[in-house]
Amino acid sequence: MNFRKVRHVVRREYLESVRKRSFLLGLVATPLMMGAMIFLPFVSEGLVSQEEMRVSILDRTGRYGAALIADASPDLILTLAPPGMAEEELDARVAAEVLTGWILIPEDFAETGECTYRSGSITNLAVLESLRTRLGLSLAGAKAQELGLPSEDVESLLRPAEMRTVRVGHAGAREGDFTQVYLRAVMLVMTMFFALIPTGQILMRSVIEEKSNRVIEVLLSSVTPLELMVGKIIGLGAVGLTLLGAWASVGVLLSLRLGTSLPISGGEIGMFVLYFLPGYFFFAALLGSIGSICSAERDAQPFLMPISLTLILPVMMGMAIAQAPDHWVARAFSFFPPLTPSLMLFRYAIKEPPAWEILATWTTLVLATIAMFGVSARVFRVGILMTGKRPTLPEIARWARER
Amino acid sequence: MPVQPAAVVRNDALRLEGVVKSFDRHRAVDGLDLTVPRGSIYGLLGPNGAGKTTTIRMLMGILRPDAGRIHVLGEPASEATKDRIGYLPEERGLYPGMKVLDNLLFFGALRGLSTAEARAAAGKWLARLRMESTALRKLQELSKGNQQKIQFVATVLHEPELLVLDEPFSGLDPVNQDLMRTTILDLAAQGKTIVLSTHLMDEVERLCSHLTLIHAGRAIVQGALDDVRREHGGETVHLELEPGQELDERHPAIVEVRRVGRSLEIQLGAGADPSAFLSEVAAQVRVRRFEVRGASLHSIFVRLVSADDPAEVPTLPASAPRVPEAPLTGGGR
Repeated sequence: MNFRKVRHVVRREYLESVRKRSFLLGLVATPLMMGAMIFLPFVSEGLVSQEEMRVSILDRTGRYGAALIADASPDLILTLAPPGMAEEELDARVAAEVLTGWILIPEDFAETGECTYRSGSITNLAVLESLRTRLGLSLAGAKAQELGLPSEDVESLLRPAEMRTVRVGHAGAREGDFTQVYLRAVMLVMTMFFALIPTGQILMRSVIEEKSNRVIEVLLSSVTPLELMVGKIIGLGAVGLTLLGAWASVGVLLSLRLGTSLPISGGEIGMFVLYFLPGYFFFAALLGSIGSICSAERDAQPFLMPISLTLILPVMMGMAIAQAPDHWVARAFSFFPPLTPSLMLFRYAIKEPPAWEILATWTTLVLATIAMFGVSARVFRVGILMTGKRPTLPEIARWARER
Repeated sequence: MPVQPAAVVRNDALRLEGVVKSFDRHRAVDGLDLTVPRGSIYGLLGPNGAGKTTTIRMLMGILRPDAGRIHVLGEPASEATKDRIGYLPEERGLYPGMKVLDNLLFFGALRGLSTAEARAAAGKWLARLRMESTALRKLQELSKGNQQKIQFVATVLHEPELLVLDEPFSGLDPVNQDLMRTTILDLAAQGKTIVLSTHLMDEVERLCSHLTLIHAGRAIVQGALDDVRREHGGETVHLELEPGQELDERHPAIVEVRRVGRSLEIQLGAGADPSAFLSEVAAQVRVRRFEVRGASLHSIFVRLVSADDPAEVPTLPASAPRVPEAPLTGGGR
């Protein structure tokens, strides 16, 4: 391989890509989009819970309602309905949106512990959970008082435990909660996705373009297909790293300015780099060879969807992985090279896998990348000169075997 | 160790020996031998699908031959010899979104020029082809003919010793065709070797000293232009009659008559004497113009290709003159 020529190809690919307007768009729009995807659900949840809720309590026992109303909060207005009020009347008020909902505490509540909440919407989990807890506490409190316990004792008896959560790993212990850890894992995988897929797609598109505007013939009269492919992959990889570098610098600057610590740990950054590089070369070689067998971009579209989905699969499996990060399915999938980079990164952010697993999955990924490179180079060599019909799989398999 | 004809090889710009290339079951090039002397302008002719492009791609190292040997400028064809060739492919292509100068600098760099050298060479060639004003424009903003000229500059920028030009005149207007012709002749005068692959027989007759006619992957005629003319087919005369006059085409010396506008291009049988033919014709009809030429390459081309494979009618560009339908087997009818 002539590295001087590879260098010129790298230079051209890099400069041509970063000079394009689409690069600037990716640079700015991607973090915005990612931020929106991650934070929008929480922002909108905040909006919902800030909406004032008016809940009426129809207490047939006359013993619990008053205690409930005592600790109402500004966004949750609780009122007591007259004990004799008809249930239909309360439903009608809900329908007229005078009330958000109402709670029926039946006469046998002390025995059964069962009550009913009626509302136009029963999906606001946080509010329902808080009402449920309060009712439980006031039920227990009333019972304790019946048993003759002094009210201070009842209070201390019913005080719920506060549990802090601290994640312990090789890099040290770090306090956090589910949302923080989970968000970080999703953010890491999405960053990997936005650094890998668009650059891989640009690579594929540039190969198809060179085929369709025939520059390929002139190129191949001075470089070998392998030199061309390696030059393109390195050049566009550098574009991906430039994007990552820019996003990271903005992140560091922001956290310095805001005086907060970086949202991701050194270990996570290490894991990102460790899996990004072979992951990039794996997908770039794959997409480059797909580009070489296609004559137009629309021929390549069907391949892109499954490849993109592979990378964000960990996010789709995210909840399951968060519940059982060491489940054999997650561990087995980590050895499947297209899944390895994003899945291992996600798992690491949730719970550090053992060192041997990191080593073994990384080695598998590197070996698979080398194999993918070999196959792609051969497919590329033949495919790049083909025009017209897309070759069949058996044909591609034959090219891959040819020396 | 026997002294190899290394000296001979060294003197040839290009030497192909028994080159074979197949795609699936189709043999595109079938044992092709070819020797291009240094400093010559060499015509590579053949109908569509004859194997010209495949041959060129092999000597550029884009395709690997299945068998045979290729020597370029005295050395076995390799990555190193590629940089000493300038290749103008029939399917033109540069980066349309890049500026003209950036395109030239990039391809110059790939062929080993430094940025300063490439810039100087680009300036010189753009001026020579009257294209200086386009240097900073995007390639796609140029007309098709001007894009062709830029492509030619990209081909010659690194001063290659051997130029392979595939249909260099296509897409050019007459003024630029003249410019291209002069440029090719200048390059040849500087000692460069030029391989010209084309359909245009006129250009080959005007420019080339040697030629090979390829058909179905094999060379069916090869040699110096004059020798080829002498060996294959008798003389050709161009005849123009006064209006209203008709030539009796059954004359025994006539092999073939082609009508080109108002004049007749008449292929005479081997051994026929043009002067005797003129006096016989002049006795019957009033002649306005009479000119003796060697056998036209066109007629040799058509006759040989048809004879080689009667089932296959050679495809000719639309502008080429029509050929009578009778089978042309030479030697009179």
